[in-house]
Amino acid sequence: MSATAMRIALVGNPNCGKTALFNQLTGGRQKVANYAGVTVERKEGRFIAPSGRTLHVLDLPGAYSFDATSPDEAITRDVCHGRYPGEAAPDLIVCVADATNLRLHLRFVLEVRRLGRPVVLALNMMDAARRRGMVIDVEGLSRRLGVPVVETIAIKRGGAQALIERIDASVPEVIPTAVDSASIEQLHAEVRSILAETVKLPRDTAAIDDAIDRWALHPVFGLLILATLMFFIFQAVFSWAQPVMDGIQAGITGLGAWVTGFLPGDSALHSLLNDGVFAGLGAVLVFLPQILILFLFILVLEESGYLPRAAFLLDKMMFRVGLTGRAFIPLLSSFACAIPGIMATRSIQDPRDRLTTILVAPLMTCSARLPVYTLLIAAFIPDRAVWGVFNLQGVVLFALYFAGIFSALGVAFVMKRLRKDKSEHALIMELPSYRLPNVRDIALGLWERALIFLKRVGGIILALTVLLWFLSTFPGAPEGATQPAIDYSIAGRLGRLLEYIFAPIGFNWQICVALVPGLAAREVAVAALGTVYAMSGSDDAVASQLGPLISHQWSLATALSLLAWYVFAPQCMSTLAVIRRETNSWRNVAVAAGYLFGLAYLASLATYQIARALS
Amino acid sequence: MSTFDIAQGAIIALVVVIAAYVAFRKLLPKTSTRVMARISSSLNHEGRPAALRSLGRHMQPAAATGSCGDGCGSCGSCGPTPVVKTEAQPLHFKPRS
Repeated sequence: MSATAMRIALVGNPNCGKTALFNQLTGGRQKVANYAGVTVERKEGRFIAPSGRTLHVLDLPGAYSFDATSPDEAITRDVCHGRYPGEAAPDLIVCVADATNLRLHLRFVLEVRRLGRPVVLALNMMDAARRRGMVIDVEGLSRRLGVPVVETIAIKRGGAQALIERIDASVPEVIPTAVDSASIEQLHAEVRSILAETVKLPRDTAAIDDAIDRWALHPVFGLLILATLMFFIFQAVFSWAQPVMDGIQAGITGLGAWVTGFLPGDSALHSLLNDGVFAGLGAVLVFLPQILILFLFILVLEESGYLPRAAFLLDKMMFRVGLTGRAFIPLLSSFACAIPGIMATRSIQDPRDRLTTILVAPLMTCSARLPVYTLLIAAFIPDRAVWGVFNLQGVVLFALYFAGIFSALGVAFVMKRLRKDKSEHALIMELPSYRLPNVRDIALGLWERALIFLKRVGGIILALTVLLWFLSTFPGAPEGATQPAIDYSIAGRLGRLLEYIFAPIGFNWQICVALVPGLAAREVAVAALGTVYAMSGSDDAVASQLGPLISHQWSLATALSLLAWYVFAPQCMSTLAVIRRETNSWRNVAVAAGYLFGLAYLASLATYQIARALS
Repeated sequence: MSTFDIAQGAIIALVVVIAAYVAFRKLLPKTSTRVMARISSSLNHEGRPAALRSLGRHMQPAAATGSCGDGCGSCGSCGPTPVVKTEAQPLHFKPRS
């Protein structure tokens, strides 16, 4: 072992606070949440100990045992056993255990100890344990286990100080003990014996958890609470964001006018800045407040510990349609973005259930759809109250989110009917204690979401907008041309060609053009529409506000058809790429893209034709 | 053709080329890395002028990562593609016997 750089692995049961501890030690900002299965791959960081020594820290996926049943648990098993390719065995294993749930977590501690490597036990969430009236004899526990035990509170600043000091002091010796039990029964008996000797527990569960769960897990009231919560979120997305959106819109318009004011009005550079950059990017940027409001609620729910309860409530329905309850968290993650959602399926043991979840994950309404949905809803759905309480626009957004959920359930049901293996797997899931969300963590989470969004706007969206402007500008209109110049450009001609395919579902050539760069990412379509309409010779003031423009130029049937398209269409190359990576199969990519585009076309066709017939 | 027209043409050409390069890198990270590596090695040959060799070294790409920030959504929780394959990832789906 090197005297200067030591490799430390953080292991433990899921949701015991390993990643929060990792962030404390390394200053990292890895995602943490109050449910099992957030970390599905190894993460590495490093920090300089007070002695000046460099410590490499590995954050590993949670595992209940070394008998791995899922891909993420296998990573932990292999790293701890020194079998992970390209990874040396850790010099020190820091086994993290939830102090409020030692009955479950100590079993894995005993398994880790049997590896015969230096181990330190970090008793995490000690603040919660004390609040519950638990008394833990830390020295006695250390004696019984034969490993050093330190107390930590990973979510508090300085909560890992004792651990840092212990790690920095010396590598603990491996003390052989007489209790190296082999069977699961023996391990459980050993855990019971240790707990009886070292832990005083007033009651098994927290009283407040039981009180809340009486309502939150009630088969009727629980579902009502869940539906009300979801409904409130979508109402808030529309109601709270508008003033900030108006401010951003005014800022972009003012900046655009100021910047382009230095250039001749008929120059190409003026057009690039005005019609490309400001009309395109401005159309997307205004949706930042709505995205942040959505994430505010998602982060609060993640931190509170409510999400696994929601999984429990919906398990029966998911079970009936052929999904496992374990699919809930990956599917919920897909509301942010399908990519981490698909990666989160690594916590699903059964390959069949995992594939089903991967294939339906793109149907969950990711945040990239939000700009498209809100643009169309704000333009076509009147802003009026329903039953004096609800905002109609919020109701429509709620319906679109549920359209995605019900489609996913429907597709999973069809897959269940088609597959030969009819066996079903019951859900066994740990329900964490409720926790008040940490304001700093929420603020950091929102800050990171905002940065990610702004990076995308300034990166891929800007690049594609510039390219679309170029394709919409060249070649220019010939002498004596009567149509707008864009009609003679490459993009205009491509749009006209695509219009033959998309006319039956009500898409005009401008939408067809926007769909092409929109394949890279959904919100690019909004930027592309902004650019295409600005290039079509629309008045600049109108073009800078895409919503009012399209509400004049499109029919309601076309808008509804485009909404239906975006519920299903896999307009995201990265999602398809991650399906390829996670399943190692192009066939699965073809199946996903084929059925999603097929559904999108059929849904848009039905929506457009019905809406036209009714209008 | 005025000086403004020439400068404008040059700026637009540069902006479009950069945009195409960024889009290529973001949407096709592995292919772009391969192409960049090929161009880099052809420039960095023995006998080439020092400036070209320096440009070649500069163009030598880092390993392609292809993270979720490249294409979709607003996620940030997935890391780079693991460098080494493990038996657990990716999965090979096989029908049960």
